[in-house]
Amino acid sequence: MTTWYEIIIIGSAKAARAFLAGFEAGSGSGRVVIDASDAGIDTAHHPDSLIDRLRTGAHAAFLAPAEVAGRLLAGLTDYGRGCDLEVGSVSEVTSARFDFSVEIFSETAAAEVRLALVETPPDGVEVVDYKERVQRDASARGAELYTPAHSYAFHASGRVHGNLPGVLEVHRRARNLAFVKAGEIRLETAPAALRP
Amino acid sequence: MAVRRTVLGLLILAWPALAAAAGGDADLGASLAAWSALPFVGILLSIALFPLVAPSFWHHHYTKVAAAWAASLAVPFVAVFGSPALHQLLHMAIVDYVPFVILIATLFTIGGGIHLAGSMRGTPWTNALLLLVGTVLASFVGTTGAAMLLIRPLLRANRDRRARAHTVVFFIFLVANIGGALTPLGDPPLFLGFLHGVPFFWTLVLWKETAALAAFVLAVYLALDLILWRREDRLVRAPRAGGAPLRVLGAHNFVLLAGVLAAVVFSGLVHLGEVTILGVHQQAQNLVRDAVLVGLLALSWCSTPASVRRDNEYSWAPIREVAILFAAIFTTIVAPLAILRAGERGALAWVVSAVREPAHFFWATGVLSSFLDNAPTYLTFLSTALGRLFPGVAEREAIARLIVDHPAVLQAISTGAVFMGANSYIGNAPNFMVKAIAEEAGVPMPSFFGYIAIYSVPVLIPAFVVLTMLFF
Repeated sequence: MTTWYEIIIIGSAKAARAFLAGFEAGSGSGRVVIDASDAGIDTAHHPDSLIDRLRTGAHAAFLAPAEVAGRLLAGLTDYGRGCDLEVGSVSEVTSARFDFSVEIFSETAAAEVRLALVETPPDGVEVVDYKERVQRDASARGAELYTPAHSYAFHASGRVHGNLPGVLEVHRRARNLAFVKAGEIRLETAPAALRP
Repeated sequence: MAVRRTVLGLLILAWPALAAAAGGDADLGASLAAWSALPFVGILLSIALFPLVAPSFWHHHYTKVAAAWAASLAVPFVAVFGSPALHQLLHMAIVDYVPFVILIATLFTIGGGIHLAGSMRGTPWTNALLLLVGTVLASFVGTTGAAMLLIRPLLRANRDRRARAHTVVFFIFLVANIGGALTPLGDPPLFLGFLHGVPFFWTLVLWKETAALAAFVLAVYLALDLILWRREDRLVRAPRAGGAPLRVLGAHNFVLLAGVLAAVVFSGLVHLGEVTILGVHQQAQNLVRDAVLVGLLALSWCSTPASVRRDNEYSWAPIREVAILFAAIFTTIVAPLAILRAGERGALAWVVSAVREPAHFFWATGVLSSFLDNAPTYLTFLSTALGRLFPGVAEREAIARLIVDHPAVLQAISTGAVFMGANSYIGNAPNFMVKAIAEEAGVPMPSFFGYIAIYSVPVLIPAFVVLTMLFF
């Protein structure tokens, strides 16, 4: 299993993204580094990043697999200062998680949600604290003008937990499902052996 | 059982005396306290709030809630004021309630017998065309009938699209509300106006306001949907060959709808004299109209294949709801209407004196219609206008004078009630029905406040401000 690193870069987020685009084009690594703000990842959990944000007014968070992270850090160390970028911190991502909840009144849509979020998780990902409630009310079938009630209601909530790529994949599925309210991804991190 | 029979027997024995005493011109409106309007406020708030805060309770117990509000007015009202109060209640039942329920039931049954089958692609232009057709149709089959007829074809056409909620919201704006402004068949408030003496064709004067608002809202929809269409998946946007051709099933019901139109127009043009029912004078042509409507309802029911109604998920539930809830509304509204008609002498004189200009009537009727049912709201402000401008004048004569001397006031009340019913899910009955049907078809509709904040406030409110400047 590939190890992933969270790299906090102090400086203009725009400049950091431009740097990353240049790095990916120049190194031929392809688009493997993930910009946390694009992927719905909450980086405010990081105390350093909060302090740094207050201090510098801006930061960016990237997630990179081990095979790219070292080279990206080296690049930032060598060339980052030229664009006022410096590495704030590097952490190893040990796991990721996000909470979701859903309320649906269509059996078809409910089946799609179950399939995408609960029944087919990627390897290394599990749904924990999952609660599901289905209500049926035959008297509410058909159109109603003043007493609208649904003949079918599906309520569910839970937490998706596991390795970063798998959780990102389930989060992407959740964001594509109209009825699902998916929270931001939270990362569990540990000090990294990798140093800038 | 024996007790019930005894009470019923006493009522039947007492009826002629009560009915004979009824019709006296006791000025109830000046005698009633402002708090006697509380049951009316209570039933309207129940209709508005229970579906939001306790939908399951409301679905199963609305009959009891409605009965409680109706009894809380009717019992003390009759006990204290006797025959004049009973006469008011009977008048409301015979002249307003029964014809109202018959019309709604007829339009709903006939409209529910028409089914648009086949497939369409939910492109921006197709959607806009459907909204336009629904807007025009709403004035002739009622907003509920037009919404019933077109919401499922619209949802089917947009099944593959990611962005669908905005289309349903604009459908609510146009088909379930704005489109109903041109005839008394279009929206319940206007039919109530017709029952109270507004000529059938008078509502056509609202064409300028209706056309301006509908054109603006449709243009906003088209612009928005063209943007969202470009963001759809390429496969969704790609032209598709084949698909089932469009077919109208139960098309003979359009002929029956023409019959409804003719019957209602007939009752507005012809005078066949008066009959007295339980002490209440009713125009004979109105009874003929109601009989014809019931006949058309029965004809539609018998002549339409069951499969068409099944495809429309037709049921009697909406008619039952209207019959029960409007029984309570029409019972409880008697007190506030009497007070308002008393004008400056009534306990609600402050309302009468506060609402003076057409713009006031437009916004006051509209804001209340946004959150309370628009039919009773219309009647309330019509009575407010009559109480202020023609206190003590008989209602039909007062309405005739209102149309001649202050037409902008009636236009403001009518458009305020019809248009602003679109401001929230609870403003007009079909809004919630469309929302529920869309959600069951897998469309993520905005929440109650989301609907107002994302759609009503940015789209409708500026349009209403412009309408006020242009017309009132």
